[in-house]
Amino acid sequence: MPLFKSSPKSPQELAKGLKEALGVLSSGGAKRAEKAAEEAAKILGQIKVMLYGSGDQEPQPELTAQLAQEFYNHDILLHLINNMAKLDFEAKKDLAQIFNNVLRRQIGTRCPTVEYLCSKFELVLKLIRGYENPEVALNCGMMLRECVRHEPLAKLILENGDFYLFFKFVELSTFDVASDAFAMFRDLLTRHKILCANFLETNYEKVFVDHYQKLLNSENYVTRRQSLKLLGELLLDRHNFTTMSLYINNPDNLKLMMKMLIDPSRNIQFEAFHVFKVFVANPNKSKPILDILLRNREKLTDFLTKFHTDRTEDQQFNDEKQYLIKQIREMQPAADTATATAEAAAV
Amino acid sequence: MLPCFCNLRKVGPKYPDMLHSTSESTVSQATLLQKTSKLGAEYEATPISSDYLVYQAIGVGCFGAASIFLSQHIPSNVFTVLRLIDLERLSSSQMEDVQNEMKLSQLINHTHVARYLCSFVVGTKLWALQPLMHYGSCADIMHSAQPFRNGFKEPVISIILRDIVSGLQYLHSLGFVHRSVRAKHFLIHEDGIVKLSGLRSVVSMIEDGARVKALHGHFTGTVDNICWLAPELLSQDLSGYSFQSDVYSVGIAALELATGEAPFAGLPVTEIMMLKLRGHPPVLMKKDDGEKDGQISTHLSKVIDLCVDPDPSRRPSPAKLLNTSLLKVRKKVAPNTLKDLLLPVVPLDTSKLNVAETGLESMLEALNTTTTEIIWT
Repeated sequence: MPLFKSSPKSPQELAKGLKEALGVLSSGGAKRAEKAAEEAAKILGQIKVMLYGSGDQEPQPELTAQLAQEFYNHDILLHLINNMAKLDFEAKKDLAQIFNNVLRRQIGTRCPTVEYLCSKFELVLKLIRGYENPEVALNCGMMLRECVRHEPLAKLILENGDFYLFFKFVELSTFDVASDAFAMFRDLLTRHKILCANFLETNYEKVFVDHYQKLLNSENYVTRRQSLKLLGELLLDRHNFTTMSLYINNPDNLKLMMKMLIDPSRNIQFEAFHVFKVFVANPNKSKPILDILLRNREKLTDFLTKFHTDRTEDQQFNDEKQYLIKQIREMQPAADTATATAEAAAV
Repeated sequence: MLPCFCNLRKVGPKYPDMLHSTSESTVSQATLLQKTSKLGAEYEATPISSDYLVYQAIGVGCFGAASIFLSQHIPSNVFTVLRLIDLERLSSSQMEDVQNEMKLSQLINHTHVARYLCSFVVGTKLWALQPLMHYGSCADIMHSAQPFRNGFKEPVISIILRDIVSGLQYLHSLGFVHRSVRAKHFLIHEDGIVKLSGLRSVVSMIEDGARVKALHGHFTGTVDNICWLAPELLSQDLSGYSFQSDVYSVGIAALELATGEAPFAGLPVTEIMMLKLRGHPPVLMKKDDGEKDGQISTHLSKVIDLCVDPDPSRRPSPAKLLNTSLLKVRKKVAPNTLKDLLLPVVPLDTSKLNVAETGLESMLEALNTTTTEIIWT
C-alpha cells in the first residue's frame, strides 16, 4: 500500500489516457484490447469522481470545464460510444453517468454539449441503434433519456427516420429493454409539447396510420396496454388538437376503439374508454362516425351502463360514463351540410 | 455526508464480484466464484417460456399479483424461481415499478445482490426468473424452523450482515438507496451465500447527470416496511433522507435476526411513526425468555446502537460497518460455515420436486375473461 496517495490526474492527462486506451480497444488484438479495456475502466472511474465529486467533496467547476473541452476537442464521447460494447459491465454505467453529466453543462443559456451533439448527430443515432444490442441497450437508454430532455436533440431525433425504429424496439422480447424503449418513445412524443404537436401533425399519416396502428394491434399485451394509454394522453393534450381532430374523424379508429372496449383485458377496456370518449364528446362528428354510433346506439348505451360498475371510487370516470350515455342517447342523425364540412375536415 | 461514488471495485479487494474478481482473490473467493457460476452468471437465461419446467408453487408476491414457482431452465438444467406476475392485476404505476425493477436488475452485478435473470411477457403474464435460493429468506427460516423462532445466534447474524452490508455498499456506490433492507429480503443460496433482494423499492440518487443531495417523499412500500424505515425517511421534512437511512434499516434488521421479529412489529402504524419521529430507540416486542438476553452480545448491540442513531450523520457507512469487529473477524470464514450453523435447516432438495400437475396450464393460459357477446355493427 502506498504511503501517499498519488495526486489526481489532470483532465488533460485523463482525456489523453482514455483516448489511447480507446484507440487500442478499437484496433488492437485480443490480449492488448483486454488490457486497454481495464485501463479505460480505471480512467472512467476517475473521471466520474471528478465530475460527480465523492463523499463531501464537491466537483470543481474549472476541472469539469477543462475535461469537457478535452472531450469536445478529441471527440472522446464519440470514441467511447463506438467502443461501448467492449467496455466492462461497470465501466458502461460509468460512461453513461459521465455522458449525462457532461450533457447537462451550461454556460449562461448555452448548452455546449448539446451543440456539440447536434453537430455530431451520428453519435446520438448510435445510441438509438444501441437498443438492438442487449449488451448495451439499457446503458444507451440512460444516455438517450438525457438527450431527449434537450429540445434541439429531441427535434433531430424525431425528424430523423431512425425515430421509427422505436416502433420495433418497444416490442422486443426482453421485457426490460422493451420497457425502457417505450419510456423513451413516450418521452419523445410528450416532453416538448409544441415540438411534439408539430411533429405529430405534419407526420400524422406516417405515425398513426402506418405505425401506431400496429402497436395497438400488437400481440404483446404490454405494448397494447401502454400504447393505448399513451394514445389517450396524446389525444387529450390540448397542444395536439389538430392531431386529435384528424384521429377522431376516421371511422376505422372508432371501430378499433369499440373493439378494444370489449377486449378480454379489463385494463385495455378501461384505456380504450378514455379514447372512445373523445369520439363521442366531439361536437362536430363526421357522418361516418355518427353512422357507426347511431347503428350501435342501443348496444352502446346498454354496454356503457354495465361498464366497470365496480369503479365506484372514480368519480370522474363515472361522470364521464354518464355523459357519454346521455350523448349517445340524444344523438341526432347528421344534417347533410354538416356532414360535408366534417368530412372535408377529416380529409 | 455522502458515501464515495468512486468505483469501489477498484479501491479494494472487498468485492468478490462475479465478473470482476481482482487479482487479490483469496482462495475462498475463488471457490465462491466457481460456485456462483451456476447461479446464472454463465447460463444464458432465455426469454422463451417453453425453455422452463415449472414445479410447485411456493408463494405469492408483488402486490399479491404474482404466483411464485420453483422452475428449471431446461437447456442448462439450472434451477430457477419463476415469478408469474399477472400484469392485468397491476395498476399502471405498479406496472412501472415492476418495469423499473427489471431494468435495474440488468444494471446490477454483485455476489450479494439478488437480481432477475430475465423477464418476458406471455399473454397478460410477466415471466420473471431469478436464481433459486435454496434456503429461502432469513425471515422464512425464522418463521418456519423451530430452532430459529427466536432468532439466530450471533455467528449466523454476523455472516448474514457481512454479506448484506457488502451488497448494500455496492448499491450505494452506484448511487442507489435500497429502502427495504429487512430479513424478508435476505436470501440464502445453497452455498451459504446471502443476497440482498427487494430491488423494487430502490431509488437512485443520481438524476439528470448530477448527484441529488437528499431524497424526499414516500414510496409504495412505506407502510409495509415501516418497522425498518429510518425516522428521517418517515418525517418527510426538508432535509430529506439518503444512504444513511439504509444503515438504520440494517440495525433494525439485525435486531430482527437476533430476536425473530422486527422491533415495533404489531404496533399501530401511527404509533410507530410517533415513536420514531421522537427519536425513540427500537422497541422489542418479543418477550425475551431470559436466555435470549445473553445472546445479544455487547458486540452486536453496539453495532445496532450505532446504526439506529436518530441522527443519520452519526450512523456508520457500510464500509465502516464492514470494518467493525462484528463483521470483520468473520470475513475469511468459508461460505459453507453458514450451512453448518443453519443445521438442522437444510437447503431445498431439488431432486424431490414434482412438476406442477393440475391447473397450471390453465392458469398460464387463462385471461381474466369477461367474455362478451357484443358484436358491433
